[in-house]
Amino acid sequence: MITSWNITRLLSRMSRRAAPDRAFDLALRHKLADAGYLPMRRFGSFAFPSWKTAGVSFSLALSLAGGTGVYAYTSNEVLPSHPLYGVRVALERAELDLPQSEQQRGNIRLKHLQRRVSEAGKLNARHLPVPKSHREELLANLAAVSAASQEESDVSDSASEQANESRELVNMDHQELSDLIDERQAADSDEDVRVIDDELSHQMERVNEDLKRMENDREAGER
Amino acid sequence: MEKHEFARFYKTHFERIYKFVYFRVGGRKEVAQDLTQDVFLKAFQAFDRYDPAISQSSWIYTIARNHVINHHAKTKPGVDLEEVEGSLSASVDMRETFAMNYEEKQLCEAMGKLPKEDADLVRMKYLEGWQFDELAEIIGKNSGALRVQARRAIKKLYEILKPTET
Repeated sequence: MITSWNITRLLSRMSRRAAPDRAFDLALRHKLADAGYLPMRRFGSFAFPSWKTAGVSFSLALSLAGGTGVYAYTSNEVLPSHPLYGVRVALERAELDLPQSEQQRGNIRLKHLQRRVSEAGKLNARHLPVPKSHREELLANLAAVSAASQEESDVSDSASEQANESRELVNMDHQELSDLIDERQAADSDEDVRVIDDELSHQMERVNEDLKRMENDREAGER
Repeated sequence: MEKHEFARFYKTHFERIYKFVYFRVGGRKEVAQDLTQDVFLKAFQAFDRYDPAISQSSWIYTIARNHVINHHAKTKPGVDLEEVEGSLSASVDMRETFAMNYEEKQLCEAMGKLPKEDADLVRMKYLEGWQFDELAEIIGKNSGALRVQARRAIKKLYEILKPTET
């Protein structure tokens, strides 16, 4: 069955397949640098972060928050409509504020983003509305992960094809999700809202898949 | 524009310009790479003359568009860009090089049935990846109006493609 979402997805898929090779991008950058048009820059080696340091510090903070905090932070049942959801969000903010490297922070943002997508998916599965604030937070998290991954990509010329591709997918997801949310806000009929909500639901699934893929690529890089 | 801004300029526009060229040269990768390289070399050579009153997107888009027209003028005398743009759906070259599946071919054929303005917008937004704000600068329309136009164009494609009820 063809839906308008299928159409945008097909177009996105074609667009991805038409993307330039990373090797060509690098070759052109070097050529422009040689010609003096781009600053000479030695792109650093790609380093994948470790969860360990931040993990230990946060475990300490979590234990200080007590049993309720642990439940709020870890339970799959704490969704946006749950009374403890605010505790979860507060703990996540605290987790991000801990002293750590940008790479560690990037990994934590990725983890939080996966949670937002998973939560939205669960709400959808239960036919519950995804609150606007949740969508906005999801989008903000996706923007942060997308920006961080782009920065990593900018300073790396040795990242694997898969890692680059997964970054690109997440960047694209962010754009598509952002457009869909804008369109939903601008929708002028119930029918439009319904179609866009269907698209949002599918897009969430796709974001989830792409984030899992990104995480796997990062883990593969760490090994 | 200062030279230190080159890197950001390149990063912002590289992929879109490549895709813009790619879809206009029948999906031939080597040609798209050569032309994209030329476009950026031209752009950077002309950076000193860049007028900040024009948006960067419009500026690089114009350079790319003219360069593709010149390329077609050299390789296929008598064919203008409008014909090239309009022939995306019917391009045998594109179907072969891009190895389109059945759905993609259907979609391209449906795009060929859209009014040219709608087809251009869909192509630039969804295939090439321009932002609505940039498209507003390039096309000379309000970005909100373009958003609505794009949504409607997708609906038109859906109307063309949806299975007919029997």
